[in-house]
Amino acid sequence: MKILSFDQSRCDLCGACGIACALVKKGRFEPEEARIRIETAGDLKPLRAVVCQHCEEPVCVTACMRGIIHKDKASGRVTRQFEDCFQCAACQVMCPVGAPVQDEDLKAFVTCDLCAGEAYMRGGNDSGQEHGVSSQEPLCVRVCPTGALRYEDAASVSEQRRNQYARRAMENPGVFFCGQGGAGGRPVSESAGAGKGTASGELPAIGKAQEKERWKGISLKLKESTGIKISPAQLKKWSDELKEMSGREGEMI
Amino acid sequence: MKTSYDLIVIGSGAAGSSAAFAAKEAKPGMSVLVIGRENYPVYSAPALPDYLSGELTKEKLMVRSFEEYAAAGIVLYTGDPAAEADPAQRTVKTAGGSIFRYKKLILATGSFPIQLRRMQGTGLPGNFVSKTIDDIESIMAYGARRAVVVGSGAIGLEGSMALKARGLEKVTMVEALEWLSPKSLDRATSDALKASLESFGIEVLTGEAVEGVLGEKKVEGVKTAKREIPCDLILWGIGMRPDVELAKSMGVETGETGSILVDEYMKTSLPHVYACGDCVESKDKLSGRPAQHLFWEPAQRGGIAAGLNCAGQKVPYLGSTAIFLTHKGGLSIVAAGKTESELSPEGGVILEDRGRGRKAFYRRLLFENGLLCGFQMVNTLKDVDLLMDTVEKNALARDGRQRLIKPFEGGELQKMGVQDAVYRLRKERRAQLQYF
Repeated sequence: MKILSFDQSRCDLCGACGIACALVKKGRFEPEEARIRIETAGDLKPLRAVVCQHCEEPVCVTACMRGIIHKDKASGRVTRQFEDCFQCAACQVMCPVGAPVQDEDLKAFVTCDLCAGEAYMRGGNDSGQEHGVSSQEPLCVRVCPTGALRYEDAASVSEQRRNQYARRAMENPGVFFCGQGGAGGRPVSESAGAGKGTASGELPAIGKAQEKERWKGISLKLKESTGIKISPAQLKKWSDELKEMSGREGEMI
Repeated sequence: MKTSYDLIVIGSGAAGSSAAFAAKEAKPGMSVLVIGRENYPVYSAPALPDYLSGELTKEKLMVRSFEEYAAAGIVLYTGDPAAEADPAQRTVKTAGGSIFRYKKLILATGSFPIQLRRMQGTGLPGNFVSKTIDDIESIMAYGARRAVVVGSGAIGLEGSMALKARGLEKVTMVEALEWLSPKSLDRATSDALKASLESFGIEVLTGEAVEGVLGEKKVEGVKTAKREIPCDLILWGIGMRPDVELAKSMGVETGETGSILVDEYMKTSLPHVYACGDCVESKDKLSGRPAQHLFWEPAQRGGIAAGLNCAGQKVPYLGSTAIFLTHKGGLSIVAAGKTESELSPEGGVILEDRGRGRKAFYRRLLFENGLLCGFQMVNTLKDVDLLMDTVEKNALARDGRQRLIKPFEGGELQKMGVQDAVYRLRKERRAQLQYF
């Protein structure tokens, strides 16, 4: 199956993913309830994408006291009939990546549904029906300006990660990479080798003109995909807000 | 009705139903019978307080419908509990006298609430527990204005909140020990929790053991060491015991906690007999010690393992982590791992965090030699996944986990030496791991 993969060496924390997710799922700028957030390593360095990994053996399925979370065998997706959620928080507490968010509008804990369904839809299209494999790219992937977020086959992501890791280990003899995936069950997106010795030390800097172009592009893509019209200037403002919040409180972007 | 089955599951709760469905799905040719005590398919017992408060309807409690059992080809036999089982003949006899023959048996008999039968007045009308739908419905049918809730575990906390939300005039929670849920919470956490409960209008009394129930024909009050509390309803939430009566009568071995002993494939000491759920002894992942973890998640996970193993697979169940979790009606508590009293005096450090601005909350993180070994939080879920993960893996609070200690950075943290300890351990660990 295809999953969201995250390459933190490319991410510059613009926050477009979360902004777009909240816009399409909630209809407004609400970063705390976006179904994808980028976790920083306590400062402005991207660490991992906090988003449902559609685990092979999802703990949320057994944790759910309502029986409304299922692993769809055909598509591999973890789906929720969120209408029946009674917000006990067990899925969030036990999720190894902390993916579920409490949606105040839906009165439910929800996760990324990979934008499955016919179109990018408000609220959530994920009602436990089987949509099969999503043919479209999730919106966050579509708007990501750096290519840090990708929608790829899980097996190939895993292979890339292993190669990346081996290469880094060979180039940096004697350095221990912590946070590497596999061992503890933390899923793929953390496994790019967080911490010391990774390429994620410095954010790639971009110029003013480039940045302007970026938000113009994102604004256009948003409009094309969902019909939501937000000016590039407004998007940029939200992005700055997010960064400030993250710098101040160590929150996620 | 067919009387001979490849698999019989005794108990139709979370564990038993998960086991039945997992087995049937893995091996569709298998004939499966589930014998349930109650007249319901599996329902969400942890959500019973929401039914009591009026927030959920009975239909919403149901996790699976009768139709789902039928569609899966599982026979659900309810309302007539299993009374005896003969492991030699491989038969189960119900209270109503029906006899069923099994090839494999899963005991998922669950647990029952402790009741103080010897204390005077505990047999009077007005004494209640909260374990089944019937328990809740009898509380609902019993008109009451004032309630006393005994105990401050999940049942006590959620029961008090539910009774208050139901509109009772007065709800008093009584805990015999010095503070609330002392097995899971420290005094400071309990204080924050108490303040939160009081903000909902619940009276909280700690350090007061209940000494008797007042009343002649029905409950009229509760007598504690310090006072008499008038009330017409008592909800007892003083603990749960594994239901091992049937298992013991069969000769199934029990462990040091009194629950059924199973191996990692959920097999009991008897051939062809498996067990799962609240009635089994689980391994605590943090301490490695035998434990009773009466939670939904381990029940389902253990149930699935038992079912799959009966269907011929080999799926291990590796224990669970105890989590204290209540997240209901504006009150939220999460706690896991060690408490203050379990920390060593030399290596133990506790960090507290009360949150800034908007919403007050309380968190405490417990460290042992620089490693996070426990946390407790009231009215926040901030970083709960990362805390849980860090406790379970016994990891260092660094490299992406620094976020955990960021709110505490500055004077206090330095003073306590956590940063030094984290740093020192990091160096040590790197020295060990230089083979790369």
